[in-house]
Amino acid sequence: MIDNWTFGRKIASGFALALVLLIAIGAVSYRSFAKLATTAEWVTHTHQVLEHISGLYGQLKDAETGQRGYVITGDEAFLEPYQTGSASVANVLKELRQLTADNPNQQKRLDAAEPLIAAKLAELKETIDLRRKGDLDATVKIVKGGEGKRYMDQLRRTLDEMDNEERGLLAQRAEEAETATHSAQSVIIFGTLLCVLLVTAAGILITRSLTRQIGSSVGQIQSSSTELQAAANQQATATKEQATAMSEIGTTISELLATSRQIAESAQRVAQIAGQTAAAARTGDATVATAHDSISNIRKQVDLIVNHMLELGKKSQQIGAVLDIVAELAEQTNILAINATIEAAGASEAGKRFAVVADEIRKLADRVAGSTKEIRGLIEEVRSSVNTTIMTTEGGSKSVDAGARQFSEVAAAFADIAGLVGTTTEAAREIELSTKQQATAVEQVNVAITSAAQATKETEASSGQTLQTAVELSSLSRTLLRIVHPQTASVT
Amino acid sequence: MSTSETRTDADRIHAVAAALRRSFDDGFAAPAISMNESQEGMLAIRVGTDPYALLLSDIMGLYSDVRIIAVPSRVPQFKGIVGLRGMMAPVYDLAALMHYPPAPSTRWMVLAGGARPVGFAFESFEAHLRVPAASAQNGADVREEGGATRQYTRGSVRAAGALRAIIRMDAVMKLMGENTT
Repeated sequence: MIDNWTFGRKIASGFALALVLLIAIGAVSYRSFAKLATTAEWVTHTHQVLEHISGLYGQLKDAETGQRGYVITGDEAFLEPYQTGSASVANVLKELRQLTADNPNQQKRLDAAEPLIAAKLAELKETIDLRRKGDLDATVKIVKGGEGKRYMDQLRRTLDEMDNEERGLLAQRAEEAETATHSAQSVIIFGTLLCVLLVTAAGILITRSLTRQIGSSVGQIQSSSTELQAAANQQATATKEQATAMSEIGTTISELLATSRQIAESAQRVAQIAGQTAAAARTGDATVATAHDSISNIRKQVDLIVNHMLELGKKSQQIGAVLDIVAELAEQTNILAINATIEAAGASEAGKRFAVVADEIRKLADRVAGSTKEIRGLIEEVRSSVNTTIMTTEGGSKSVDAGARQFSEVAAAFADIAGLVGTTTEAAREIELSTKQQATAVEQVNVAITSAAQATKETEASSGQTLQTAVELSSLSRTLLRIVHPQTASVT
Repeated sequence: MSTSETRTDADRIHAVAAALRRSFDDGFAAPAISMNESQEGMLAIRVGTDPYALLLSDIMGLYSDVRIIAVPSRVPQFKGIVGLRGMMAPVYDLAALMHYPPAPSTRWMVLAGGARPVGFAFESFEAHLRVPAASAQNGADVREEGGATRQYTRGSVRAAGALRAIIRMDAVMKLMGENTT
């Protein structure tokens, strides 16, 4: 249960226990000493009473001594004890009555002694007066009468009774004082021993509990300080890296700033070039329109060429037909010549001459046939070329059509280009403006990064201090642990 | 075709026409020449895929695109009859007689046989040749792939770019007779 108490509660409990014990011992001791003091006062009181009894008796004896001396000598000088004693008796008696006011027995004895004292003093005064008058005989007579001696004997007995009672009270009170002294000593000794035992036990208990608690806490502090040290190390490292990164960021931001300015300049140039491009696109649009007209003229010319070529193809076919006739004629001529040669072979000498002519005709027919073949080949080539030209021209015509369409598309594209270039110009201007704003923002970022770098440096310094503090805290925790658990601390 | 090529072709045609005109004119201007006895007239033809030569002296005439009237016959080489100059003549497929596959089209025909002329149709007439008589008579026989000589040819002549076996029309007539009997 005590382990759950707080540090202050444990210490307060220890001190409270010690305080309670001190108060108890003090109270008991005070009571004992008060009783002892009372007893001592009563002893002193008894001694005073005894002194006054003895003094009263002594005063009376002095007064009697002076009376006797004067009576005997008649010298006034002997009256000095009488005068002193008789004068003090009343005060002593008064004080004695006050001192014994609490004792009825003594008051009764004083009541009994008081007339005797008065009678004695009167007897003394009478004798002195008689002596002073010179009547020695009467004086001696009175003395010899023994009245005074009886008074003194009665007084002596009364005072002895009072003295005995006081001495009995003195013995009783001395015994009470001794008892009170023993009681006070016992209270002091045993109370102190008990206090020592209880305080020691409480101290051991509290010390163990606090040692355990503080040791555990110090252990935790040491562990935490070690972790704090490691964390501070990491923080210091991270802060250094952060500082390096911030420096790199600063450099990058500077480069970014320069790049932004370059972009702004480039955007400005782009805007200028876009404006020039827009003007060129408008000029190109007009050029394209002119080219479109030219292509339309080309298209008409190509159509004319195609028509001419088709006509040429027809003419070539006609030539081919004529050539077929010529070739057939040549072939028939050749056949006729051969047959004439055959017929001539069976004829006479005139037939032979006919054979010569027939052979010439055959040769001519052969050559015509060969030439016809050659011309046919050429015609075929011409027709092929015409066909190729027509196809090419038609292809060209189609290309021209496509070109015309493409020119229309180009014109539309130029219009689009002009529009897009206008948009591009606007966008380039917006880019220029945005880039300038971006450059301004980057400058602000650069300033912020510089501040952040400064803060990082300060953080780095703070991390160093934190690390130093962590090291000191770790050392302090070890010291505390060494104080709380020397053996544990020496092991660790 | 470029303009320069067209011009070149026209020039060639003009040159050919001029050469023909000049040759024709020269024919009238040149002195009369006699037939050289030492030369033999031949026809260069092609039967199947092989080149052959026919002696003009073995035939009576050359004809093209004649109308052959098909007549039913048991002879597969017989193509029909033809009318020429008021007379009728049977026509045989020369390729079939010479043991070639029948020709798909036979545009040309030669007439042989003397008093009883017979037509022999063939596919292709290439040229009229005049070769020295000696080379026509002394040419070596062209042999079959197995080494046997062809029974309807005799000798050979190199003309019109090929070595041509000379067809013996009498042997062909004999083959025709064997096939028809």
